[in-house]
Amino acid sequence: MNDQSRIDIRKVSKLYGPVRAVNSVDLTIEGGAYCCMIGPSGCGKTTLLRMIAGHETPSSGTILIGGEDVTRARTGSRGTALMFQNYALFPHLNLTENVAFSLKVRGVSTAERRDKAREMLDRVQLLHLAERVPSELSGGQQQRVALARALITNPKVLLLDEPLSALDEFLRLKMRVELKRLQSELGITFIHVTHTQPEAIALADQVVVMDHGVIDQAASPREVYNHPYSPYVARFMGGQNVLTGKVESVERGHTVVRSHDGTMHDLPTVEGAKPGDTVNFSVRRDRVDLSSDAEVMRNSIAGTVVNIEYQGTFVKVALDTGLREEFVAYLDVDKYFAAPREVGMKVRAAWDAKYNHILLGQNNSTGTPHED
Amino acid sequence: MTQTNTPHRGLAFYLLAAFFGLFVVFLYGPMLMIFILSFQGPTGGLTFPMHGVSFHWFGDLWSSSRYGDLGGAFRRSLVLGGLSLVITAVVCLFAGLAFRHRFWGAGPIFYLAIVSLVVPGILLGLGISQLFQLLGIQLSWWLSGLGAHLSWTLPFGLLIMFAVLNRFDGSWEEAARDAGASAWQVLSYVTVPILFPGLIAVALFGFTLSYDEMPRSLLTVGGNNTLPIEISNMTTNVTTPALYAIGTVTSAVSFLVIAAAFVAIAIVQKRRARAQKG
Repeated sequence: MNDQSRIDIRKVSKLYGPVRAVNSVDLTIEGGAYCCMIGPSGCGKTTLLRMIAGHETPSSGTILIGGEDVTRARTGSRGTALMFQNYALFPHLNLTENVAFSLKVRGVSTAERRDKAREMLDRVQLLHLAERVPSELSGGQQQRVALARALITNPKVLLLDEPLSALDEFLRLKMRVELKRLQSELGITFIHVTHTQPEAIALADQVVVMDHGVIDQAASPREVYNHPYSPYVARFMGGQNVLTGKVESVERGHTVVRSHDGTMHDLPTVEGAKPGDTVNFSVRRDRVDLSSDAEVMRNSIAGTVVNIEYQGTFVKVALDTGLREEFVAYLDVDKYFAAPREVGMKVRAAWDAKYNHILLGQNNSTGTPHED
Repeated sequence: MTQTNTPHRGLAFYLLAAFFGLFVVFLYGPMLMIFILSFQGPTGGLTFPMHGVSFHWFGDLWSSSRYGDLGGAFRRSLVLGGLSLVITAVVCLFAGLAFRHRFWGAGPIFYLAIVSLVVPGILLGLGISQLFQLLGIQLSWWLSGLGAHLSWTLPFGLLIMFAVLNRFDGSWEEAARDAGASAWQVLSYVTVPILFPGLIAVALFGFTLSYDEMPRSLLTVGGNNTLPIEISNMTTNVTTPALYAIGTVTSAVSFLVIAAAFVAIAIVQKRRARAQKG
């Protein structure tokens, strides 16, 4: 960790007319961390990124990089470099000139900037194309040029605006690995905006889940995935079933909740909950088992099988439980094929009480997860 | 009837081809006639047949005093065209860049600019000459005349600039700023070089629209005529093929300007190609 590239965002808001694109956001990103900002389009993640880069000025609040207030510092003089979603390579310059651009505007001599640019191109394995113009390159090559152009100034923070969204599936996975490797080599802070959940989980040290201009949760990928803060985070990050119930009884270290069909669920203590309160909780899809028992059990839900997908390493079974959302179970392949189901069967999905996770946050938006 | 391409062509094809042929004849026929007749022999007249082929009437243009101040008019039109070219290109570049933002009053300003395309040129010229007389400023081709021409070339150039900017990606400028470029460096290293071919188109229109502008010039150039006015006068009192000669000369100038523009674009592209080679 280095404090040089630590980022502190304090009470930052951005208003476009009456619209609050970013609403009083507080966030600390440790120096040298790989941070992924994730959320649906229009959630404010790109605006926040652009404010860190200096392409937008916050309406209020402060942004510090390495302890220095850069809220109003000029773009390009705050130690950040932004890699644009469409790469924004200069079409009239060849790769060497593209990569050397920031050295040129800083008045570095022609010979020196040429050498440095070629060194950088070599690093991204494109030296043999140094005299080409961007339109002669493939998407993946263009992205590596954009990366080289951003890194040549030795930034403290590299900002990536949906860097992988323009690539096909194969390249996306390949570049994902390269980005991670590059980040650990350079040891600088990467902030990567994405709307793809597996990308965030795979890359990040810190995942920042945003919605409607606010941060719903900022934590490690494991924390966000296993202990989502709100129903929205649980839905958006995927892999979870979100359930709702009313508090039936509160005991020491134990809260019993009754769900829509009358089933009792044993939850950990919910702070300040009284009987009759509504509580949201989640169960991971891969912690669920199916049984044919009609008998009502605790920590279970009844439903009709509406879809079965074999996924190679698991089987995905979707149940219609009479709620707005389908209830999904990821089942072990061997176990499932020992007792296969059919669409239309009535089944009961049950799980161990310890897998009930309370969702404290109030954000109940639908959030459409993207899954690989 | 099948939808496949058969070698057989129907009646419609020949009718449309004939129509297109007529269109081409009407478009270029008259110009070609004037071009040929300008090489009429010394004893020839305004119509066919040709009495030999010569450069007589071109020489007559310069040597004879019957045609008024033709050389002066030609020079004035060239200078006016050149001034319009430079001013149109520069103003339309910055106006086009500015109109990308919805600044306060952008709508009314745009419509004000477009109105001068719609207003009849002769009326606009009359208005300008009246205004100058009211203010007690003498009408002259390089002041009131230039203003009248700009009222025509600027809105036209602005519309072309909009089309050019349509294909311009603002994130190029952001990328330049992100790399630390100042406003001036963004303009000179990124914006202008990328827009350059489009800018040449705007500049060319600035020149040609001014070079052959007549209605707006008529009442605004003061004592010294521009070339279109001078030629228009000639059609009423000159009855020799010299009339055609001047037509050929002015057309040649227009084509030369366009050729120069193409050469300029080619040079830029060659320079870029050379830059590619390192």
